[in-house]
Amino acid sequence: MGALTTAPPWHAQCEVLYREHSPRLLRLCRLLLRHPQEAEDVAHEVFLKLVQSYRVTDRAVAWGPWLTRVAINACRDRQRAARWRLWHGAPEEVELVDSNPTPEADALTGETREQIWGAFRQLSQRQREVFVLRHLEERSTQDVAEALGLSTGSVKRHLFRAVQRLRKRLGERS
Amino acid sequence: MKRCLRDRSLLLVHYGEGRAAHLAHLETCSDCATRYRQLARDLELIGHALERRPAALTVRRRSGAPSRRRVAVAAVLAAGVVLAGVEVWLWRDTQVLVREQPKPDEASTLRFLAEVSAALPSSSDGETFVLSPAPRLTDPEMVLEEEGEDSLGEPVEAWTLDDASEDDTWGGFENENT
Repeated sequence: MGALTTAPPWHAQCEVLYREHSPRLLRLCRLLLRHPQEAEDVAHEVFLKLVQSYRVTDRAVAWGPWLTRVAINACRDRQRAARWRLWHGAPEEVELVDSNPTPEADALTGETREQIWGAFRQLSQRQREVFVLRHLEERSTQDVAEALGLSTGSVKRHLFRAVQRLRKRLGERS
Repeated sequence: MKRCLRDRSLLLVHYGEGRAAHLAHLETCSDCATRYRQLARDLELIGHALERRPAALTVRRRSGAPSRRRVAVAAVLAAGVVLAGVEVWLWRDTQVLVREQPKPDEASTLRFLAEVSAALPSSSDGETFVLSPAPRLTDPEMVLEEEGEDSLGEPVEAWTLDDASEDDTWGGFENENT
């Protein structure tokens, strides 16, 4: 006795992609956006776009880099909208406390973490994107360049400046 | 000759993109090796810090400092006030004081018409008329006389007015048609 409805083949393939990439994309969006809730919204939007594109695309696509590009573009759109909202309305006062600290993270004092996050927020958008992809996602320079539409030289330059500024803040702390 | 590596080269080595010469230098130079280890430690620390959310992310208004929107509204209002002040100042400078002309009364109009009507018929006959100073028709003693048309060639007083005022604003005039 079979199932009454069978999911189309693209459904299972999209599900595989979701399981494989959703943690990575969620972390990427959290790093590029200010609010975790907004990052989750963007991650969901990205997978909705994946489903829409997957159904109509016949050719072979490297969906991993595609998801990264779409997520970065969606984050940029959100940041532009956030700037507009900030201009039009005062920000609400919210406090977000991470309730699941890891042992490594526990080794960092809250002050140090705040300083690093503060320095990270002060990086330019491009520097943040490059640093996240190259350092945290451990993508190759060539992959980052393709994802962001930059030359490899530009990627190295942005990465060096980002690391320089972050380390400078760390040096000020110590 | 000892040439230490730049920070940029150390970063490339960290990400596995350094040249063989840089790697060889790192093995021999303790200063660069120390700097490299420090770089690796810093990057690890940064990575750990960014792996999780900030301990407490608080987005709040800066106390005491006006918000952007308030500053914008204040700037627009100030600009409006300045603009209005400049407009008033310019308007006052360029204002032209125009005196209202006295409206000619009915009597003046009738007097003028009388003068014209007395002067016009004689022009076609070649007669010469001398118009005396025009009186005010409102004067109750005014008498309008028309004298002989048979005295051709002679200046004929078309009409006279007793007690014509000297300060007539219309001013008397004489006209001779030859």
